[in-house]
Amino acid sequence: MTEPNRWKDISRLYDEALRQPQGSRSAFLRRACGVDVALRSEVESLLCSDAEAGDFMASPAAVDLVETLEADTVSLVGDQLGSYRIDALLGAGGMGEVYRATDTRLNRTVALKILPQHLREVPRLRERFEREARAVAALHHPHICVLHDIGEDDGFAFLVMELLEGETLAERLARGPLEREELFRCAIDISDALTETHRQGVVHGDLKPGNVMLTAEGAKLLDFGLATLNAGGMPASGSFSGGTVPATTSTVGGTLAYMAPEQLEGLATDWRIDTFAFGAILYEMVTARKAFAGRTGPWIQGTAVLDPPIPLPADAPAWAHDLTPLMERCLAHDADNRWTRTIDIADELRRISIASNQLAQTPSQSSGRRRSFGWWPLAIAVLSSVLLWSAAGRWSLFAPAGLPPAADTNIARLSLGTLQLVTTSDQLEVDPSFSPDGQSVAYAAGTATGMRIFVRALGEGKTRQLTGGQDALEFHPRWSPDGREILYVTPSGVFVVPESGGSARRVDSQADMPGSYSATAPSTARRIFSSAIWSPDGRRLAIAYGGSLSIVAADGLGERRRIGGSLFELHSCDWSPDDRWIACVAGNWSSASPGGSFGNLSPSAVVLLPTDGGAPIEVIGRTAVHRSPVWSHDGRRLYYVSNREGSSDIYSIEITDQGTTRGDPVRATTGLDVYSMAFTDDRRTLAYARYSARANIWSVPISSDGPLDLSRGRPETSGPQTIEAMRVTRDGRWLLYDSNIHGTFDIFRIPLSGGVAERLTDDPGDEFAPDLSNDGGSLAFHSWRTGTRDIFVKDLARSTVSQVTATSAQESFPAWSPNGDAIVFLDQFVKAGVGVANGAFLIRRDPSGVWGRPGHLRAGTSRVSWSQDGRFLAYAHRGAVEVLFPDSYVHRVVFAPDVEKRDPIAESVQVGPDGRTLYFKSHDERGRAALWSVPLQGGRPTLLVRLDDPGRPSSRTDFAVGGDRLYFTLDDRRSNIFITSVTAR
Amino acid sequence: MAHDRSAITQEVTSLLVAWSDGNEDALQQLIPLVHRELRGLARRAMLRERGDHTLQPTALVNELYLRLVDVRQVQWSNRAHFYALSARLMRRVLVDLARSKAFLKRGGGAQAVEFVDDRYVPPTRHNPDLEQLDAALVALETIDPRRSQVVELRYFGGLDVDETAAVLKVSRRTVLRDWALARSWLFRELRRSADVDPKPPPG
Repeated sequence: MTEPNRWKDISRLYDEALRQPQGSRSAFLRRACGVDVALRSEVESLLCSDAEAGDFMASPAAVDLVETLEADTVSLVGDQLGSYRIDALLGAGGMGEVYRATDTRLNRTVALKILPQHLREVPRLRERFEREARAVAALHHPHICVLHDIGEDDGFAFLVMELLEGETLAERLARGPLEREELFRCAIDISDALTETHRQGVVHGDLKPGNVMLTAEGAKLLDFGLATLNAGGMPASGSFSGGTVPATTSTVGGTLAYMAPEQLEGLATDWRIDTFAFGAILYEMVTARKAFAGRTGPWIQGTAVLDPPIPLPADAPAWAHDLTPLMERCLAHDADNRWTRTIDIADELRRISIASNQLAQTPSQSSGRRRSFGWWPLAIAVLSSVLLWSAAGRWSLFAPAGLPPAADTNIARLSLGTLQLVTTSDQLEVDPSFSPDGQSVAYAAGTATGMRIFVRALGEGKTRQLTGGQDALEFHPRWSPDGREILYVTPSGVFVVPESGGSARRVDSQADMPGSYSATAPSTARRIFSSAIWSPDGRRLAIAYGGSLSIVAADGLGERRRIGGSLFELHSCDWSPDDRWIACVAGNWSSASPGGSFGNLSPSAVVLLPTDGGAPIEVIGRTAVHRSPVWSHDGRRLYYVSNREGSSDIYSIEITDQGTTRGDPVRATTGLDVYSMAFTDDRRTLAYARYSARANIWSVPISSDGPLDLSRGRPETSGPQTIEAMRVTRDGRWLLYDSNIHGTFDIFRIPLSGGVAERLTDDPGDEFAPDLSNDGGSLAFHSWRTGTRDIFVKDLARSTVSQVTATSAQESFPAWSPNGDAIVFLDQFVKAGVGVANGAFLIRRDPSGVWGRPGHLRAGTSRVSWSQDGRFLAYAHRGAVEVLFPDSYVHRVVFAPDVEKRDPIAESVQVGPDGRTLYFKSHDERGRAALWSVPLQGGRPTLLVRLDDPGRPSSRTDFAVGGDRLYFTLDDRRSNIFITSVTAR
Repeated sequence: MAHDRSAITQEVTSLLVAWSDGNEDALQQLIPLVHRELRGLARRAMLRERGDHTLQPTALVNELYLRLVDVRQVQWSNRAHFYALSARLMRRVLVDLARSKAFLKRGGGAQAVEFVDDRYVPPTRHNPDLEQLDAALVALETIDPRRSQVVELRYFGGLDVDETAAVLKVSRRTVLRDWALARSWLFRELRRSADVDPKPPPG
């Protein structure tokens, strides 16, 4: 600890130095401290810390603490609301939170449901809620959960309900179909409860397995009328007479599967919507599958609905077929054809229950009945083809005769038909999306820094440009489920354009995103839109922005619901047909979206984000570059693109109801070089972008002053490979680089005097970013062989490899100090507390070769470059060029871009051979690169060369300086879209 | 029993008085009360965040202090002492709260960072780990008690510069100077402690 006298000196000098003008502080300290370098260094380091501290402790501790909280972490447990003492959290979700509580007056245990805030803020909905709550409170039935009370205290509105012990029917169904007795008991309980409900003039309105609780006393109905309120629209009619309300989809996942056609169509509804939902539940109890899981079609308000009939599966038990007529009548499309009186359903169930109990004793008879009472007999007898509702509003015959709907819906391997080339340009065509009728393909085309949306009519063979700003960077088109509109993203916004063309409307922009950067922030803060997709019903959008995914209404208005928390960059999302999951790629945004580093080859993961807001599930680890996840028709299998075996192919993996995987991924295609893909709705036709990319090193001579002559540039490497990072050794003998020429990334070197490349690593994992010690003996690089980035050093003479860092964080881009006793590397590391410790770290090794503990140098830096004498490091820091003196932690800004002047944003920096010139590479907001120089002592940068040929961009941030040349990569990328028929193999 | 605001404030105030008289039990009763208020505050902050962006967290915290220790309304013989006491209480409560794993979800005060193909974008805010800050503040206290107290009053107690100056009976300028150095020193300490914890190398 600092001595008191020493501290007095330090604090006095600190105060005095702060009073000096900025430029003369270090001169002042040199004078004041004289030979006491340690004192000077201490004060300088504090001054430096002051400059860096930013808004550290700028607001009171309570604010800092509150800001770190997430909504669901702030439990009410231990509090009291009204006369209810809150004991434990039972569950939380989009519908609010449910707690176990004690009624202190009556000393009984109850369930207390806190209403979501948005319900409380709309007085109309609030009144409606209270009215319905009172109506439900009047319902007394052994199979209806008792509503004891509603209340409000301390800003919270809540419902007090009977506390039920047991599981929901949804939880039970996750384990499989119900046994016969269990099924009849439960179905009769529900129908009895519905009978009483309807008799009292109340419509449940959101009947689904999640709202049926299975208790020791039988099934109990929960959550009356709340779902329609929760949808944020008009509440559905709660009266027996029936009111006319527009249909709304509940924001609660899965509800769509139980909604009656008139609800979906926005027509008048009455109690018979419960009858329909009951039929769907009955089907699910028999089969453990949703009756209308395939409801992914064009249901928007006001359009007609016809669900493709779903036969009872062949493995359904014999007795279940006795329920067919009852279910059919519940599920009649026209409400007038459904059961009129709910009590009749209950009676019929009792009758069948007794009859089937007798039949169960005589199996031979029952199998005879199965044939004569087929489920949806019409479906088998009449519909030899599947009817699909097309975008133009007409029925079209789609699938070949004799095949069941989406027969290939859950197949692991794909067999492809004849490939048909849709586009032929030598530019990039990516991100195909089929129109719902399968007759057209939308896609993005152009260069990595200028893309627009096109539509190709497959039958006519005509292509039209749908959008078209001069500088547009539009990608990821997605056809709306009704076929009328196309959704696409740009880095700064989400747009919808009519399928027929015309002006696009913006549905989301950065200004609407929480925590978005201001216009003056450096563009290195890459908070961008990376993906936007339609929900299966076309009413909502999921929008990936930065590392988060939000769900908004399709018009972009209304509440933004963020799901899944913060992840690595999310992109390439796909909504599951049953509305439960959104599959996305997490990590390496650049691999999937045009712009700067398009085609980047860092590994990424595939994650499932539950639409109800639960925790994300990683289904495919960060083991390879992953792209373009697409759900199978039934949502039970996920197709995605991976390069885990070298070439980019389609793989598939089975997904369980819990969102976990079953079995291993299966490669579905071979040697396809897929970049992105799409299926038609029936999964019979595949469109994919076939992509090839190379990034090879070029160099240009540095002239004494002024611009470089690109025509004097020459290729240093060639071949079918991608190179991410490079270094020239300090002796100027070698060019070091990483390359995937053998499939995975390995480290290579090539003599600058000419010669062949030598492979320095051959590990099956990916190795990147080499740097060779000055003695030429130790090769440092980062590798993904541990699953995250870690720093390794290979002794080239002994061919031994040692691991320098071993953390779950991301140590990468090592740079040897000139004397070889230290490595500075980058890390990205989240530590409870100090927020995120990222940026540059320094690790030293003692003479015996043992590595010490890394120390943090500076947050937010790019890859560092040492000066030849080892005195300082140069790097880019939030767009500025900086140098840092590692012995004192002091850093100095050499050049800070002025955004107003459109100064270049530095993304990587290299110290020149003369030790006085710094070189840096910039990328503008469209990813166009340029190389600059700036004197170490400061001043305006000089533009050396623009690398802005759209046909051959320089997308990677890394570059190198050596001898009298600058080294960088140029990209050669092309892709075209193919379509082909798909069948099971 | 709905909670009467002024009743709580009175309760807190009298408990603080008891604590200042050396009654440690009073503190044990105080902490859950403040916890509750803080959780309510956090909820309101988050709920409002969705709808009304004009409400600043600072305003919410001011609300908290007003609700809890409405010292401005209390004729207290040793007002400065009272301020100091509430700041100490807040420090205890907040650090305690930050420590409790149930309160903070994964990563504690960690923030999301943007991660763009091997380039790193730093977070915009440094939300300090209160537990570490507390430890650093204890260290600062041994070499510079006054500066440590300035931090406690301002950062934990939420007092402004003038109030801090009044409590410590020093000039406004001194408070500003003390604050600047203490902040730099603490920031440096926290940054230094942010070293990577290397796992043992795999076998």
